[in-house]
Amino acid sequence: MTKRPPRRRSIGLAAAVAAGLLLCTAAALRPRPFVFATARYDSGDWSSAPLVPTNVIHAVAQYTSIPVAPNGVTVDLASPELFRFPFVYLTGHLPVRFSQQESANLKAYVERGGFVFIDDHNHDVDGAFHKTATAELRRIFGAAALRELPNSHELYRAFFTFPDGPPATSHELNGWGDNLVHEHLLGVEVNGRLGVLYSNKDYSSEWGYHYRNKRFQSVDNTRFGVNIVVYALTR
Amino acid sequence: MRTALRRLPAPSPPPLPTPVGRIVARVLEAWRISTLVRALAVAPALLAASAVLLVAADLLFPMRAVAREVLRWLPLVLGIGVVLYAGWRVAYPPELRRFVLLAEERIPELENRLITAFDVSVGDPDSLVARAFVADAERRLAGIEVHGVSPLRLGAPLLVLVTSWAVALAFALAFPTAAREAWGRWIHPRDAYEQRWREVRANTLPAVAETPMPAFDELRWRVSPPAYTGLGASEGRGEEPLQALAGSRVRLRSAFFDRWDAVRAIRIGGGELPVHRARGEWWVEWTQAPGERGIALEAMAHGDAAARRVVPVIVLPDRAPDVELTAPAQDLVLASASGRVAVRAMAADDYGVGDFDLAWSRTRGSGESFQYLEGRWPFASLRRGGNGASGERVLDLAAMQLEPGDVIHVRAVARDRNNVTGPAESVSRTRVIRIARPEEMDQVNTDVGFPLELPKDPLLSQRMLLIRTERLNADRARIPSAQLRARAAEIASDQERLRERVGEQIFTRATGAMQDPNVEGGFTEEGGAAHHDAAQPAGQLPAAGTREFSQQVLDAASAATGQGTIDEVTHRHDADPILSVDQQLLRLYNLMWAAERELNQAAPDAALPHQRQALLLIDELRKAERLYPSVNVRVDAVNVDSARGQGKVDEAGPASRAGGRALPTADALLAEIDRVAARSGTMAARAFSLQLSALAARALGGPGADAQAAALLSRAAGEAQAGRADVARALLLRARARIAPAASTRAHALPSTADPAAAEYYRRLGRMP
Repeated sequence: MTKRPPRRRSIGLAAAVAAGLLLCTAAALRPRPFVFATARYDSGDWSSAPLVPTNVIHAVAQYTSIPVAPNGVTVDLASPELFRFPFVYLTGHLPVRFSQQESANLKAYVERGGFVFIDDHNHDVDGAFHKTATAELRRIFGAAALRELPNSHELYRAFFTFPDGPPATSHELNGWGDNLVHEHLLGVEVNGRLGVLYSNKDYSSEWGYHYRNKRFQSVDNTRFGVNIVVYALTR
Repeated sequence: MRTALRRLPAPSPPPLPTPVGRIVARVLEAWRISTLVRALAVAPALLAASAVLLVAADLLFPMRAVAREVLRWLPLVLGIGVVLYAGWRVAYPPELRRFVLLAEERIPELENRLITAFDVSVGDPDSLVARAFVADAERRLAGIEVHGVSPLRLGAPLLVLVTSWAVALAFALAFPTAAREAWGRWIHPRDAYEQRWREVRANTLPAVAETPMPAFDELRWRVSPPAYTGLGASEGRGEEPLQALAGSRVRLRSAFFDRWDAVRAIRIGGGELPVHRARGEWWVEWTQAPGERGIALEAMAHGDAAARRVVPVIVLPDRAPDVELTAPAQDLVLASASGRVAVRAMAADDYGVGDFDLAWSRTRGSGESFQYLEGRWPFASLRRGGNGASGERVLDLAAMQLEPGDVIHVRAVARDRNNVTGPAESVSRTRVIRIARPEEMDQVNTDVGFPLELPKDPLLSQRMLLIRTERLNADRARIPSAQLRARAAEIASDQERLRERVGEQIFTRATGAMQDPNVEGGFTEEGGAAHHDAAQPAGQLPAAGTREFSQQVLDAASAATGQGTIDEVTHRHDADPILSVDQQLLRLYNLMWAAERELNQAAPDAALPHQRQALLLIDELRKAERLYPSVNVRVDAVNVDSARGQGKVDEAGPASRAGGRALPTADALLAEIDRVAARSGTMAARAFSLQLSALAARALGGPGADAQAAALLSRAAGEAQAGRADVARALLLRARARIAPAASTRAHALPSTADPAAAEYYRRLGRMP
């Protein structure tokens, strides 16, 4: 058995290291898919809309070329893990009271470029979630931070065009809520970019069906979800 | 025969002897020149001296404007008078003998020969003595030269003139503002009055109280609504809000103060309007545009804004007509296409109904043989009264050649007469008239005149009923009583249906058939949690899907609502009669009943309190009753690859992917309000007022725009101008509260202040800097 000369051995070692580096670089350069994250918070019922994440994921896959993970994840609002996701969905029916850690995390997350979509699952103008969630947002971001979004906002043209602003939901006029169409969404803007999108139109109920049943709809009502995701990822 | 006596002309004096005539002529010429030159020197001296004296007198003892109006001409009159008098004297000099005497006085060499020769020549020139004396005088006077007869004597007038100018110049240099003011007061005495004079003295002389520039006096306006409304012009004044329909002609006027140079009027967010002046008033006129928010007024004095005022304009809405199809009262299914169906409708509008007719469509067949026709029918009889109209048309079904299966949709369409922003159109509910097919005769009850009662419209919520009642109450003053009764009866009908539903709830609860007991399951998503319930936190519930879990959920529901027991819910009491009556629901039922009763009596105002209480009660019940059981939902992962590209993106926006537009924020306006408040204690009243006016203009446009806040700021400006700074600050606080109802200290940094007034402002804000 002949022993490999030291020079050839070092060349082989260098080649292996180079190949490893190339593979690591390729892995790093490969686009990481978008992961739909649902925020979990201590108060209230954060998991009230279990079908929304997959429905939006499906819509993103249907309409865009954005790489998207097939499953959503849940992430604690108080956890540093929150900062791994550029988009977070938060919903519920019940009164919301963010803990100190949750508040601080949410503020830092938004100020560092994160996007939070908060949807009132109650669709009431003065429902418990609406009153407490908006109060919490004002407490965290300042009294004047939460403002109505004009219907000409870029969000409504981010992918699909919604010239009349946010699409109305069937839950706004079903007699169970307040029977009023909420004309505007609210938002908190940081550095000229929307960081918090707040809705009490109850998209959580509107999109709360299995994505396979989307084929029965003449117009896909999750298209606005695509706009929200595209805005969050591209602005 | 009459004899006419004619006055003979006076005999001309004999010509003077040569040396006498020459001397007298030269004296006369010297006197004329002297008189004219002295007059030209005395006139400006007199003018300047009298002007300086008048200004000085006015400075020490301020005169009334009317006195200055008269006295300002005195210097000019004196100056011109002197010149004119001199001219008159030159043109008509005294008799020649006085010049002869003057020459004798000033020329000693004459030794009375000149006067003697003059007297002899005009007396008896032909006497022997006279001829001898004249001959001697001619010889002696021939060599005498005339000089120094009439000296100019310009020293005194020139001294007066120079002194006057020196005094005026010194005053102007020492007190330029006072000099400018004096110039204005005397050149334009109407524009000057005592207050302004005191203000100038306060600025230039110590120990004289300052008086402010006059602010805008009470505003008065006249609003002429557009012609289509048929309304007459209305007038308002003072602090009343200026309200106008779009298209109205608005004329705004007030007093014009003499100290102002001009008044400017600028549309908020628009251009400048021409301002007219006459008889001590200014006025501006414009046509109110739909989006216009108000007018900013500026009084200009000496090139600067002496006063500002913002006049917010509230544009009144012209609502679309209310249209109601009163007959047929419900949709019809008819057995045959014969007979007549009366279609009646009524419409009411704020300012009168314009076009009013019926829109119809007819559908026939299906599939490829589907036919669709549509058109408009005028009413056969149309009655107009007040601001309403009602019409009727009888449909002859036989003449319409309808076939079994045909469906007629008919609805009333009304437009108002608004020709300013375009007529607003409203439509009534659509009634459907369907001709039954033979094969469905056994399925539906059909008959001409006895139609099948189809399901009514969905129940209206209590909130919607309240809104409709409030609107009816607002309209009651201008709609006919018949229409009031009809609309009230319709709301009462809907209220009755909702009340009946509440009655069903009471019964259903008592019999325990309300809650579906098969609530079970839980939700798990990857990384997620399960079992979230309104009543109990996660982790304390038994395993989902178990009977125990369901019972706990229902127990929680019973505890939350205070109603029923688990036995009732699980139908273990079916044989029981009503077990209990929910007092809250019963109260709700009675409130609805009371509201319904008032509406049936066409008293919407009396119904409103009951409806409001009912709505509050519903909200309380709803909050107490809502239960959100979570379920375990196994969510399949999305097959991204198969879904990719399956969506239709036809409506995807080709719009640019530019960054989002910044949200409007009122922070800048709030910061400016705080800044002005912080300096309010150290600012002069006029400066404070001007800054408040500027804030009012900003509050009418841009982020945080609020017409009511602008009105408050405008009032604050008036109060500040009047020296009531405390009132102005209170109004400023109210305006700020309107713009930012719950502004926090973190909204923006507050300016620091040592001013106690500003500190009080912050204390009231609850935000000590």
